Amino acid sequence: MQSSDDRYAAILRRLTPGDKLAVAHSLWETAWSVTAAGVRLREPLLAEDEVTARVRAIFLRAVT
Amino acid sequence: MVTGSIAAMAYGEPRLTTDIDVVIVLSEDTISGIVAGFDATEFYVPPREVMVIEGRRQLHGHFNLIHVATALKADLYPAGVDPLHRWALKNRQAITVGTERVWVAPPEYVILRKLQYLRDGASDKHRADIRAMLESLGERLDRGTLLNEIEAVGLAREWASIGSGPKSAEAPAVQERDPLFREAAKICIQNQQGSTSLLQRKLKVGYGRAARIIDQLHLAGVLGPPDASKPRDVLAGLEDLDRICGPK
Repeated sequence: MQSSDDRYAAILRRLTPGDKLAVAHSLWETAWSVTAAGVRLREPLLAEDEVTARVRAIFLRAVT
Repeated sequence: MVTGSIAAMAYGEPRLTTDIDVVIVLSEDTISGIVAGFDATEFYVPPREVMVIEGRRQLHGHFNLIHVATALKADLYPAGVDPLHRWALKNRQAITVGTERVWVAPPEYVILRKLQYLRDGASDKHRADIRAMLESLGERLDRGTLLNEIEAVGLAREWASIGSGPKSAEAPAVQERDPLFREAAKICIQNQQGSTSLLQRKLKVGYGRAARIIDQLHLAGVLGPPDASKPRDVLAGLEDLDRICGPK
């Protein structure tokens, strides 16, 4: 029996190229939000524009 | 022409990325278009002189554009005289994203580049990208062209490692062979030809599996390289089976 990961991958592979890129963009948005949440957790006194600047710096160095 | 992870996603599965790789034919006009099209208050755009210098490189030219607010990055690779770039540009494919038509490198090119990255020690993500592309594309992949290029640029070892992830350096191909590999080798030797149709008929397997076995037989030295639509030459004899496949 296929694992749920395999079944999910099979569904993703059947998407159109445009829809796959839309999923990738949504992954990017999620990653940005999670990274920002991590920055806020570590440094709760940062202003929002400073949080954004930290996330931007992290993403600029990210290897994907 | 888009390549790299974005092209791999279009052909395979979506994953997280923060950059887009683009192969471009760089001219004075293209450079002017980049300068005019990317507002310097929103994007990092290299000085025109840098783009000119990178565009003059025959091989390995490269520069970036970066969207400052999101840190999304485009890696631009001038085509130069790289014959693989030229082949890919000639065979690029159009895909639709929303209402836009986007030129994407052919999947064979994307796979070859990722195999090169693997050879150069890059991360395992390229192996996962290739696997997803192979799963998605099936018979739409031009395996003849791909295998010819793999052989020409010496990437057979990396190609053999795609089957089931990182393996010991000594015998990756043996561990990844199809369970019917030995039987298939015997059939090809006895019939003095190697083709997917022969294996489909004799082994009662589908096209995809037969094509994979043919690739494995080629990499193991049982069959010669693809030759248009003709069956492949057989390069081994029955006496070689134990050496190639290991004892029964």
